[in-house]
Amino acid sequence: MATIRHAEVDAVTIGVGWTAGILAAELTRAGHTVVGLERGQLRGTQNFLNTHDELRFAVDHDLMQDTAQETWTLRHDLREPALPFRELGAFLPGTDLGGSGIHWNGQTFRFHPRDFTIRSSTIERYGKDAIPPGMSIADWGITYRELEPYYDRFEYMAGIAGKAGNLNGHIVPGGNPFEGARSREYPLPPMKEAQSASLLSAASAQLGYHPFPQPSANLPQVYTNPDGITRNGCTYCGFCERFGCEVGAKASAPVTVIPVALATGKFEIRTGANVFEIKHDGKHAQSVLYYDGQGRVHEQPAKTVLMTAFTFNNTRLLLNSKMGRPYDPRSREGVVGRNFTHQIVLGGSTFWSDKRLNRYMGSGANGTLIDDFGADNFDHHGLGFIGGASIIYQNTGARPIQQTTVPEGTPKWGAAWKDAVRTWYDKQSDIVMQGECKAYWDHCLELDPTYRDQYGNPLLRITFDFEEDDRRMMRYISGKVADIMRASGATKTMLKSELAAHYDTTVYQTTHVNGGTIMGSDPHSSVVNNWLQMWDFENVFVVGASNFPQNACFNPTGTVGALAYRAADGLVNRYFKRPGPLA
Amino acid sequence: MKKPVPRTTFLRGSLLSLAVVAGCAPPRSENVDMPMPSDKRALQFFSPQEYRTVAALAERIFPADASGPGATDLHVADYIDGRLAGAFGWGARMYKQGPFLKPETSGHGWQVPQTPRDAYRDSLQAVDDFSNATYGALAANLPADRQDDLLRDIEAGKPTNFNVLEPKAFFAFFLAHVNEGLFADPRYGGNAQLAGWKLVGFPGDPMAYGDPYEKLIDRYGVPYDVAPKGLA
Repeated sequence: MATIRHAEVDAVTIGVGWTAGILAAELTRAGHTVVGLERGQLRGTQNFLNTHDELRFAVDHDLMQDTAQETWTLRHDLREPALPFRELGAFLPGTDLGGSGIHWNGQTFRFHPRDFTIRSSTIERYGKDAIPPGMSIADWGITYRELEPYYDRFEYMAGIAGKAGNLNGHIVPGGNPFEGARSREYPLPPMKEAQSASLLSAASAQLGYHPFPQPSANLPQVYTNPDGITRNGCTYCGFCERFGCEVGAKASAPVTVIPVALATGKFEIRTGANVFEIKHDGKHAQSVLYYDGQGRVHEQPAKTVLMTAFTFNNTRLLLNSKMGRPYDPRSREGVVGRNFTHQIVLGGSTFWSDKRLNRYMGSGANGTLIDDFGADNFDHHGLGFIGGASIIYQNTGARPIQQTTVPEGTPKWGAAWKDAVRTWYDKQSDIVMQGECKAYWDHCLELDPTYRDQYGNPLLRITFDFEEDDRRMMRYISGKVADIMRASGATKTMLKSELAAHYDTTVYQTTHVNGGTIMGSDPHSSVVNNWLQMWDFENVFVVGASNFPQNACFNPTGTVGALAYRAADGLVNRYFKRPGPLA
Repeated sequence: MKKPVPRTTFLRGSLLSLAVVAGCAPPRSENVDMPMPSDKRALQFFSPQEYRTVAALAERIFPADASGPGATDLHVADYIDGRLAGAFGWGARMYKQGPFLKPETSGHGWQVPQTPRDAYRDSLQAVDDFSNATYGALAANLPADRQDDLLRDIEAGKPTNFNVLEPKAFFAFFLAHVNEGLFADPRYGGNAQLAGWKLVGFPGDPMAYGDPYEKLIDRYGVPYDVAPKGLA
């Protein structure tokens, strides 16, 4: 069948979610033409009217990738045969317009200044031996200070609600004292704190820690952003996580940047367009090839190719297109696919016999957290691990199928279970430990030799498992959480302090998967420079959490958004004016 | 006039011939009564006997007692029947390409070529056969405390006659579906009369009330006692 060839544009995006939306808005406003290729369908607020349906969206993953068509394989080490994820579980990538940025909770952080220099900072404070031999953590090739203006752009565009803890170097009470310096306050005040979070927040303050409101992309009130986009305030309906927002209060590309790009008349979105290859001459990308919904092959030539898919597909497409040097975990040579990380997560619950918490009134990011045990905010000498976890008192809702916990020791079924569910459903307050995930030489992404997607192209093979450093970190942090639980005065508490024997594809961790196309200052150890431009292909920009050399103890979207604005700046103000390497 | 064949006899006969075809399961030794789906709808996936087993075991998972109705009252078996008849039952979003290998380590989830429908069909037959062999009656015909023993056996992985999922894996699968049948929106056939939501105090769809939670969320300690509403 003949390939359908389209006219050349200035830029083509592969996937249309947060990063593509930001790039499209910035590029089209500067006069450039952009085509966005989205494998899924058009989707927006109008699709989310009957959205308070836990079975359809949270259990059956209505907004998420269909693993019958495309999935991943996993092995826990280099020796084990990899097996496919036959259904979603450990992470939940989205599909359709807006991608995973539709069903997120809206928790929007900046990473710590130390996170960007984790390797050099760790060596400086604890010496070379503090980094175990198998660990491949790396500096990002960019500093927090360099990224700050882009964080600011993203936060004002999306309308992030929060309380600054560090304004231009001055510590501000009520915010996170461990954060990097902000140039100005958040655009919006924090969300209303739910009672469940307030109980643990009070206990944390008692112990001398520093609770602060979870920064939220769900608007506490009507907001008009600098692009002139106005959105409604949140209704605290308790259906953010895994759901679309029916009032547009939750920031996503379709309710913010995509309309801005479309208004220029220079942005075209093509849905049902599944990109399978980038054509190139070894130095420059020339076009992208995609299947349409009828299986026909299209070719879209472009001056620049913007890889803006989810973490996995940025890496998979480079490998399937034979671009960049594939990473080999045995020789530790090559770069594309190295430093795959996820998130190290454990949690617990407190139970309050004398309270009714109305915890179904909630929002994706109206909790409270402490960062006292995040990153390198505490002394690690003698602890035997590096990094930390944020400790979060979440109140994302109380969906009865998935968000009900019963106290430890309760039978899993029968009259006693029924009684516990009835008794404790609205009397519980949850704690999540969101731990850093450090990179290892053996944790990586490669093409799977056996399993294929719906078109016959190789799936991505993940090699990943929990490591001793992760286990020590979580034992230590859970000890701190136990203290907080005790201080809270809760009737009953329960807490997991041990990670499972192996990383489990069926147990949801977070959708914060990272790496594969990491950024850095050295072409020998990274895929893109600090403008997110490929070292090996100057007209290809790869943007997303796939750029993270390892994961921090916070949610990734704030940093992903900042990187997208950074890439847009590089393209509009540098690359299009004078094409060539930007670093 | 021809004498009508008792339904139980007919059912027993058909089970026998199935067992012969399958060449494995021993014939059942006991008469069974025709079950009645709780809302009198026709079954979509289960055979009458399978439905009966599921309904009986679900009731032990979530029994009716002084605190309120149980799984039978909530139509949990009807919910599972509908679930297996639809996309989930067919494994519509499952990756089905081989090879299918036995995992060497934990954490790989579903790794068999069969669908959830296949898993239920095999497991329910195995449960009844095991029940017959161990307790002398089909699961649905046992007294409640024997049914609890049977569930504990499955939970502990005792039966050796499961062909698709290990007994422990099937038990976890079944628990998850009972839980859904208790608490999913009633439009899926379970949670009848929203009794699951009433029991725990979940109000359902906040949009149905026009009560903006944003005005209530910071009123700590003020109960929000409303009759739950579903999407439909």
